[in-house]
Amino acid sequence: MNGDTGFAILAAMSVRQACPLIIAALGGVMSERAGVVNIALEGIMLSGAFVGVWAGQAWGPAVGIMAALMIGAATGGAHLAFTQVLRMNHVVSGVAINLLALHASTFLLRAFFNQADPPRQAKLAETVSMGWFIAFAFMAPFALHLLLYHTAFGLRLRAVGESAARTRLAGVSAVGLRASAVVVSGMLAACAGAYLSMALVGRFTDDMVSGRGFIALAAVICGRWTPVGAMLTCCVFGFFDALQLQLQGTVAIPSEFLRVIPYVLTIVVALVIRSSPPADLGSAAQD
Amino acid sequence: MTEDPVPAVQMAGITKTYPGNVVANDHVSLQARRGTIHAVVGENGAGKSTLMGVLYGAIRPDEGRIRLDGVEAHIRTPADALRLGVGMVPQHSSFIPALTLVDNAILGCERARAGVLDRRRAIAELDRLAEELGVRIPWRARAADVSVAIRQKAEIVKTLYRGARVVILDEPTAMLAPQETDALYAILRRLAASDRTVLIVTHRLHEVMAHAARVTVLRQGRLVVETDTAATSVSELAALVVGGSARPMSAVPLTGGDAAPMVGDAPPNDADTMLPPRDPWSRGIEQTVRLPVLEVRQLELPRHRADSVALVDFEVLAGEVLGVAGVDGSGQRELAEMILGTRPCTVGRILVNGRDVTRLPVAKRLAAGLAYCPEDRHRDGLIMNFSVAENLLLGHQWDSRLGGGRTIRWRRVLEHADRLCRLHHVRLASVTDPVSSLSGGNQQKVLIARALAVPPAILVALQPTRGLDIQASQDTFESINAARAAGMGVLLFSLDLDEILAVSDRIAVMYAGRLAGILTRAEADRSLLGHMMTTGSASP
Repeated sequence: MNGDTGFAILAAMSVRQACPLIIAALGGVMSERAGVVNIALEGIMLSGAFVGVWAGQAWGPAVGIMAALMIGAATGGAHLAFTQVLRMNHVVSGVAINLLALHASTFLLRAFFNQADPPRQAKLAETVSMGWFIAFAFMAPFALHLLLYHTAFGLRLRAVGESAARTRLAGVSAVGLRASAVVVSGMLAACAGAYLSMALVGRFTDDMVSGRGFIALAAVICGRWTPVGAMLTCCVFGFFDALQLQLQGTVAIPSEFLRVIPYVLTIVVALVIRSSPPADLGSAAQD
Repeated sequence: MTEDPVPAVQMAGITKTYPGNVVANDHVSLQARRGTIHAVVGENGAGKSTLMGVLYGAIRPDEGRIRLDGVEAHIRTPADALRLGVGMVPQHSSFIPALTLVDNAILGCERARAGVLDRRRAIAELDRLAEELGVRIPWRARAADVSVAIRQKAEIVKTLYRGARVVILDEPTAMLAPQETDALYAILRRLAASDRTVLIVTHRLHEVMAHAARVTVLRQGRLVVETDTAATSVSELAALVVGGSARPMSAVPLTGGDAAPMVGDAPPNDADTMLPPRDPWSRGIEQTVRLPVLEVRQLELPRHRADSVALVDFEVLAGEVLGVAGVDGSGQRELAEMILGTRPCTVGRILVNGRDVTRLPVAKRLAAGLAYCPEDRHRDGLIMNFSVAENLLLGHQWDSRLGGGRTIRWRRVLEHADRLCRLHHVRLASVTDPVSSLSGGNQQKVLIARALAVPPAILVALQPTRGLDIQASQDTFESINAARAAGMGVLLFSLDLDEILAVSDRIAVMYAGRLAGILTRAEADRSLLGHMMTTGSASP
C-alpha cells in the first residue's frame, strides 16, 4: 500500500465516518437552537437504524428509509411531549429515550430476527448507496444556515431558543416552533441512524450507534450551535474515527485506546472553544 | 353620532386572581381617549402591570371585557392584541439580547422576498417610522450592545412597525436619566399627536402631571379613580396612590440603638474611626475630625474614547453620603465594580478605612468594612430560589455564631434572619419562604439588611430604590440612614436626580467615563447637575 492510496482511503473513510455525525448534529442544532436539549439523539439514531433495517428487509430500502424517518419523528415527538407538555427535565427525558431505544432495539432484534424460525438475520439483501446520504450531509448544513439566518422561520426558531416568553410576546407560537424543530431534529437523527445500518454496514447489530449521538451533540456545542460549525467539527471527529479504524491492527496500540481518541478530542475541543448556548435552552414553552 | 367620541380603549370588569388567591385585579375598568397619553399609577402590587398585560393578551383574565374603538375585542394572546393594533413595551424589555435590533423588530411580522428575509427593506421602513418620532436607531447592532434608552426607542418603533394604534409602556422611565426621560416623553407626545393612544404605567407622579391627559389610579387591585390630570395634583394623586398607609418620613424613629449586630464580634472598622451616632437631620453641623472611610486615588476607569484619560480621585468621609449622578452608562457601573473588586484595576488605588484593598479579592474587601448593594437584585444580589434566611446568611457563613464554616446552626440562622427582617421592616410570612415570594421592595430590604448586618464602614449602593414604590423607597433609606448616623459612609449611585439631591451631602457627577466634578449640596441644583451630566463641564 503506497502513501497516496493510503491517504485516499483515509480521506474516504473520514467522509464515511463523518456523514452520520453531521446529519445527527444538524438535528441537534435544530433542536437546541429552538431551546430543547436533545441528548436523545443517540437513542433516536438507534431506533432509526433498527426500524430502517427491519422495514427495509420486509418492504425494500425506500420503505425502510421512510419508516426510519417516521420513527425519528415519533421519537422526537415523544421528547417534545415530555419536555414541553409534561415539562420534564430535558436531560431526564433524553436519557429515558436513549435507554428505551437501546433495550427495545436489543429485544426486538432477538424477537424479530435471531429467534425466528427459520433463523433470520437483521441484514439487508443489498446496502443502500451512501452517495445520497453523503451529498445530503455536506449540503444540508449550508441550507440550514440559510434557513436559520435568512428566513422568517429561522429567525423565529433562534428567538424561541433565546426566550420562549419574549417570542410569545411578539405574537409567535413558541410551542409550535419548538414542535416543528424537535420533530425535524428527530427525523434527521433517525436518518443518520439509517445511514449507519442501511448504507454503511447493511445490517443491524446491538447498540450499533455506540455513542455517535453523543459525539454529534458534542459537535453541536464545539460548533457553537451553528450548522456549518457543527459540520466542520464532525469532519474532525470523522477523521480521527477513520484514523482509529485504519490504525487498528497495524500499530502496537490497543484498539480500545484508539477508539477513545474522538471522545478525548471532544473534551479537549469543548475546553478550548467556549461559547454560550441559546439563553432559553432547557426550558418549557407556553402559549 | 354622539358628541362624546368613542374611547379608543375600554376595559370593564377586569378581574384576575393568581394562585394562592392573590387578587391582582378586582373588577377594574379603564377608558382611554384616542390621541392622548393616559397614565396608570399605583404602588407595586397595585395591579397596573396585570391590567396592561391583560390588554396585551399576555395575561388571561378570569373575567372582564375589552372594547377597542367601541368594538368588542377578544384578546387571548399577544398575537390577538397585535392583530387588533395593540402594541406593548414591557418593563423588562421584550427584545432578545442575542439578536440584532432589526431582527427583534421584525420578529413575528417578517417580510421576505422569495423566502429570504429582506432586512434592508425592513430597515428602510423602520427608519421611516423612527424618523417620524425624531429618533435614530442603529438597527444592525445587537440588542445586548445598545443602551436601555436606545433599545426602548427601538421597541416603540417596533410597535408602530406592527401597526399599533394603541401603545402600552410599562414603567418606561424607571431606568432613564432625566434628559432621556424628556426625550422619551417627546416621542410619546408625537405618538399621541399622530392619533395613537399611549398607555403608560409609572410610579412617577410628576411625569404623570406633566405629560398625561388622564390618569387611572389603582390600589390593591382595585380602581380608585380615573380623572383628568388637569383636575388633580401631585399631592392628591400621591394620597390616592398610597391610600393613607404612608408614614411621613420624619416621623419614623431611628433604629440606630438596636441596630447592634448579631453577626461579627467587633465592628470591622477601628474603634477610633467610629463616630458616635448623631442626628441625621442635622447634617453638616459637626465638621470635626471625620476620617475618610473610602478613598479612591487616581483610579483609571475604562476609557470611553481612546484619547480620554480618565483618572478618578475622591473620598467618602465617615457619616457622609456622596451621591454619584450621571447619565446611564457614564462609567458608574465600572467604578462600582472596581471598588467592589469584581473588575480589575490597573492604575490607581482604593482604600477602605485607610487600608489599601486595591489588590485584595472581594471577600477581603468586605471584611475590611465594605458593603455592597448591587444594581440588579435578581442577578447579583439574591438567589431567588433560596429562602430569605439563606439569602441573609450568604456572606456571613463564616461567622462563628451561625456555624462558622462547620455545620450551619440553623436555629441561630433563623433567629438572625427574623431579627434583621424586623429591624428593616421586611414584610413576609416566614423567613423560610423563598425570597422570590417577596415583593420587589421587600427583596431590596433583604439586600440592605444583609449589607448592614455587620455595620460596614462604607456602603456602595447602586440604584437602591430602582423599581420600588414610595413606601419601600422610604424604608430603604431609613435603614441606610440609621447606619449612616452611626458613622457609615455611603457612596450612592443613582439615575434619579431627585433622590440624589434629597439624600446626598456632596454630589459627584460622572460623564463619559470620568468624574466631571464634585459639588457640595449647597452648590448643586438640578440645572447645573443636568448641564454637567450632559456636557461634562461645570462652566456654562
